[in-house]
Amino acid sequence: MRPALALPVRCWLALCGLSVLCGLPTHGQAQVPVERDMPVAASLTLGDVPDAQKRSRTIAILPLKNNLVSFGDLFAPDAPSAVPQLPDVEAALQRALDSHSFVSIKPVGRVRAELADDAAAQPLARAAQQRYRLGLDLYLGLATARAATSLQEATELYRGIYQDIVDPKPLADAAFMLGVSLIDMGRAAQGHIVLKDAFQVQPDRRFRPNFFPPQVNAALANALVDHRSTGDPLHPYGDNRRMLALAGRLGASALVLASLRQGPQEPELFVAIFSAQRRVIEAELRVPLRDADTRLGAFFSRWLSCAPITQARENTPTGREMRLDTSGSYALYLRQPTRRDFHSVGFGAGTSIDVRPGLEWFARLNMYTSLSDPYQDLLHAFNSVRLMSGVGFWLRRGPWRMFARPALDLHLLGDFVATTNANCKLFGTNHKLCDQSSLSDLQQRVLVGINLAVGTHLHIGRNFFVALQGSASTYFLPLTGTDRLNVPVSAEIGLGYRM
Amino acid sequence: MLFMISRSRRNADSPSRCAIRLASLATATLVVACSGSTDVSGTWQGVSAARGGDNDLIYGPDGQGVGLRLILGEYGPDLAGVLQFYTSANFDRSRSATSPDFECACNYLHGGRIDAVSARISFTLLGCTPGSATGKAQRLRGSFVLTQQGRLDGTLRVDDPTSLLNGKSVAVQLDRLAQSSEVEPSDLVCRQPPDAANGNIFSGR
Repeated sequence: MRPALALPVRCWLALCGLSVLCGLPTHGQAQVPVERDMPVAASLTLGDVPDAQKRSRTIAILPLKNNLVSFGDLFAPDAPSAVPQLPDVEAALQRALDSHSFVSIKPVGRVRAELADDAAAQPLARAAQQRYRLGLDLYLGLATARAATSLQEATELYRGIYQDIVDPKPLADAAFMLGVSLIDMGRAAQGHIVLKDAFQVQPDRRFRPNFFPPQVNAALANALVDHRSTGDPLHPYGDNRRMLALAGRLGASALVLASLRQGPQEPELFVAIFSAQRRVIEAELRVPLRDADTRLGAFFSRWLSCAPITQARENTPTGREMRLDTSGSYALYLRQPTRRDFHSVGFGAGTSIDVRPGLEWFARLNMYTSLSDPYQDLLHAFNSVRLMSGVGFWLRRGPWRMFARPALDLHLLGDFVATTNANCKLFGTNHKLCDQSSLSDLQQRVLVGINLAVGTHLHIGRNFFVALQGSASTYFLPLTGTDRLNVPVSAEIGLGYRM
Repeated sequence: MLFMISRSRRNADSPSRCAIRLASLATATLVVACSGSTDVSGTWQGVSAARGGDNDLIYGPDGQGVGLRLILGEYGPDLAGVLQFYTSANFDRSRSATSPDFECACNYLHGGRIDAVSARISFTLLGCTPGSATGKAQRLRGSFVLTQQGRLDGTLRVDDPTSLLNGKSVAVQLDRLAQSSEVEPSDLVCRQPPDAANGNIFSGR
């Protein structure tokens, strides 16, 4: 009995090993160009999608926000930089992303160019510039209220075309002038908020000390302090809603947002990644500026391993996907000649090929060793083989692929002999005390019936999936014999590979 | 996604542990329930008391005690087996064709049952008993209980109104000699006496 049990288990383990060896992931396949309007099948991560079906993720790097201007230098435009040799953080971000596959980078220059070259944005930029000039003239002409209105329109127009990304100075000019106008009008609180927002647009802005009256200078200093203390370093360009719109404009699946701030000891770099699909900041990093080069690579690597990747429906060349799997299997007969259940364990191997969306052909082979029941009515363990084939239906939801498979079931029974007579069990079936009429002998009989299996495949990475399946059969041929042993139900769990 | 998974694992930590504990308990219960703590399969043996006193049923030619060896197979509630007699208390000499009461050497059990709750077994056998053989097959009823010391304590009683020995019994204590895996097919054979064809059918029914 022991070798008969061990053989299927050994076979299964060997098949699992073979499946893993044959299904080694294929790195380094050619990257596929980005298709902005590509139909997306599902939200999957890097490991869920076969390399051949992966589409590069477009990641846009937005300009770095530099908050390293010290408070003392706010009114010292000619003062040297607080960090004389500022590293090129934007280039470091690009280098860190460049080393990853299935990533298409839009560097800062390209982002600026795309936004600036947008034909729809150019008239808006001109209109904003006109509003700003008008507002400035009105302010100098002491028509402060009308100036504020015009400057307000200018800032809104500039923000709408993402001027803070293309070139923040015009927007910052309009915003600062709007804030100053509001303060002149006695609306100090509102002016403070506008000035604070202006510092978010251009945090490294400096002013000539005598350009504004002292009360305005004080308001500017207060706004900078407020911006530094309450500004969100993970949202240097506005809230998630604005980032989502920007990602759509750029055709990017993610935006990299970076800003510099003075930490307790030394300058620090904040990096946030906004996911257009999840509409949130998906990953964030705070690191001393001097360590940025070494830490960025690991940060992006961690994020990319879990970030969603797009997959085209039509990417499978023929629309057919072939799957192989092996599994450990357990079965139980609901109709049996024994008084207690006997258990069957073994392994299964199967294949399926998609014939059209939602439809597949499949075949499955199972080998079982049936173990004796507690009363030993089953005189000895026996091996059996089942072959099932049919056309199944499937449905994919994210990493899950659910299926229902009706099939024809051929079952070759091994040495199946059962009895409830104790003398047959102890002395043997040929003994004179063994009542031959008590024996159920289905030895070497082939049963034919139908099978229905339902299950799921869960993609776990690369092309591998975990297979779970439950099934039941009923046999109707031969016409005699199926009344004694029938209706096996089985459960299987295993590992598969798709190609 | 990994962060979310690890977070959900942490959140589900207690229910998972609870489920594992429940599964362990269920498994342990199943193991205990299915382990067959009253398993009597195997070989048991003991020696009957000498003739006289409480024993006027089974004894040797000189009135000494005889060896009894009971080989049992337990299959759920059913029992099958063989009861063998030895002339020597050392179980070194089986009754043979030259023995006066050879025909009483071996009997098959019939209708064996075991009650797993009370650890009590019962069976009948059809044959003769050494010592008080009447030259005629008679029906005996065996009733034993598995004690906490792992012995089979019980009696063999003649339950046959047609026999002169009806109602006689002998108390027997049997110790386990071997497990069921150590029983050889040859141990289960009750040989036919040489003159079985002439009507000597006392053994082996």
